[in-house]
Amino acid sequence: MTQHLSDEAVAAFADGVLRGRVRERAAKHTAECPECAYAVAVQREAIWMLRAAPAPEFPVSLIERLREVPETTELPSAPGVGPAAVDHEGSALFAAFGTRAAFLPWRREKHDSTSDQ
Amino acid sequence: MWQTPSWDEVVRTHADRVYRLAYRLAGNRADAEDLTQETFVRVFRSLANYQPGTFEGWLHRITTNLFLDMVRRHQRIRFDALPDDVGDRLASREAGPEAAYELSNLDPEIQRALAALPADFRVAVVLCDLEQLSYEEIAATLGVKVGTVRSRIHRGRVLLREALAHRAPGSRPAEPGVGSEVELA
Repeated sequence: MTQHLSDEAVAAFADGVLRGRVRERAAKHTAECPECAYAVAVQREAIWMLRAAPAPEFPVSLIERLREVPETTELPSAPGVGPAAVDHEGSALFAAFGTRAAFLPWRREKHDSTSDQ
Repeated sequence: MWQTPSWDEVVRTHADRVYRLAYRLAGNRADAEDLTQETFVRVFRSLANYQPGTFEGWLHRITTNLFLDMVRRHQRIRFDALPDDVGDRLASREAGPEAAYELSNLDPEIQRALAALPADFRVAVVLCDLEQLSYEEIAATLGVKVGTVRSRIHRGRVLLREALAHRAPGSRPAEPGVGSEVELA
């Protein structure tokens, strides 16, 4: 019998992300090794059970808290510059909040402070 | 012409996904809300330094790292205290809107098994199996090697499957939550 699968290979095989010869070897081995076949089945069952769980519902009241973030959060630098906003595709803009109405194209400038991330 | 997304739009677009991740990591609504809010605070503060890329990946990174920071500091995340009241909430199934809300919005047993995982395993499993990130994306999010990610995912799933053994295909259906004999220690 071929060599047992490593734990990492078991996870990757269960996820279907092995390719080429590595995948062939894993498929061949699990076909003849009940131990490794069981290990792969355990991984898949855990995935199924997790995915079957319903997603938590978004609490409506949280939206208000998040909307208020610009009013309650101090920016670390550039006090004269309005906060930026970013659309879901990653284009960033300076948007206007409250009375600071200025729309400026966003540039990748470094500010004095470092970002949190 | 500029599209001009307001903060409201940023919130509307991303709040749901951030909260879902936060909930699955933190394991309860109160901590998930705090974690979501803190994520948006960081987003707001850091937008000026944001390098265009995958915005969602960035959000994942912020949420996940904030969660891990909180766990390491033993702050706010009450994951130790989570399981005890699950039975009570089940018992008070008709007790009120709050209980009904909780029941309709998670599978207590699965959430409890997740919450019992060590934080590093939980993060890897949640990002892989629920957020469906690739191993490489998870490695980048956590700043660890892909091999480490795979091994955490493997171990996390093994522990989950053990905790939920009675629900696995082929085993007898369980009375949900009532008199559960699952030991999650």
